[in-house]
Amino acid sequence: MALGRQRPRGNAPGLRATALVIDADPPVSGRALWGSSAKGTVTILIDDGPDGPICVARDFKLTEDRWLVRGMEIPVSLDPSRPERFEVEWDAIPSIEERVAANDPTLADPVATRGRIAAALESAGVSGPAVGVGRRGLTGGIAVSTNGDPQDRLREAVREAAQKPAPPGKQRAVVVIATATSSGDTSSAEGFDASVNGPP
Amino acid sequence: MSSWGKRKAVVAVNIPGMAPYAVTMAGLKAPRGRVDLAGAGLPALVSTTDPTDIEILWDEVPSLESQVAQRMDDAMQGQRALLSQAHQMQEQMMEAAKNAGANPAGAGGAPAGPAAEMMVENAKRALAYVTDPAMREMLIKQYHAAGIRIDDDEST
Repeated sequence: MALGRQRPRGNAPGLRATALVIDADPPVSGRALWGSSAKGTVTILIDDGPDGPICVARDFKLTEDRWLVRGMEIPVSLDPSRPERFEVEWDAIPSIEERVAANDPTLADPVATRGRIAAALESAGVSGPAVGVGRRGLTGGIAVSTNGDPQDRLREAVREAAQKPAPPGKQRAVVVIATATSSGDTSSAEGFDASVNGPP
Repeated sequence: MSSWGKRKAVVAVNIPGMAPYAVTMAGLKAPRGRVDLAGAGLPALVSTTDPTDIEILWDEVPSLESQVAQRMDDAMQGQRALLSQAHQMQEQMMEAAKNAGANPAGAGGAPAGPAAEMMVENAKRALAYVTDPAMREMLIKQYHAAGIRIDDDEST
């Protein structure tokens, strides 16, 4: 994966780079868009940082129009001396509807995406920052689980689905929730977000 | 069954024999306690004529308790497999040491040259799988007995 960097446009200080989204809190749906409840944490990896690979996290106001998911490659700008204050170039990011229409692999195959992120972190020599618990509860973490391969489990589930009967006009499938909005209520979101983000 | 409120979600649909695809579900409502802890996805029915018409079969999702139990069982099986792999590698190295002319009893000299280097590398790899200090110590003693020079601090 080439997550490059280039000089910023104009006289803006710092660097523009393409970053891999390691983790991102889901956006808050509809209501509760004010105050801190609309904020979520975005963790990125830039494998060509000024001093080598960097993995940094920052809180942003996340809405359905600013909906990031793990595995996306996004344009960011940052001051090399303060990379944790990176800015996401939101205008350059397609909407969630556009990404669904394009069958973006981060949405169509989130399980493989998790493996890709783990590989990118390993390749960058980043063992994994503490991004497991975001503002909105359990977000799955990025630790590489040794308890079996999630892709194997999914393949097995799909194989099993193929053996089961389905009513007329229907076919069996296995769905993985790639991402879902949050209610902004941290007390009730954990279980669902575990579903969304996969096993810790 | 109680549930969380409706959420807008994007799901990856995996139909046997087809490439996975993404679909937006505007009002996904998950019953409380029904989560995909194992990461194996959620069973669903999809219309044969409309691939965006999806019904998640929440009743078929294993309970949280059984998924936790399954995860624990998987973890234990994984540990057992790693241990067995380490034992297997150890046996292979002992055999290689014998074939290379090393003295398994440790009374004579250690194998030399590329064979010795290979055995040390194999020993390091085998030890990387073993986290239990007692087991590590025992293996290292056996390597020493086989003439393989390896210390615990250089095996990680």
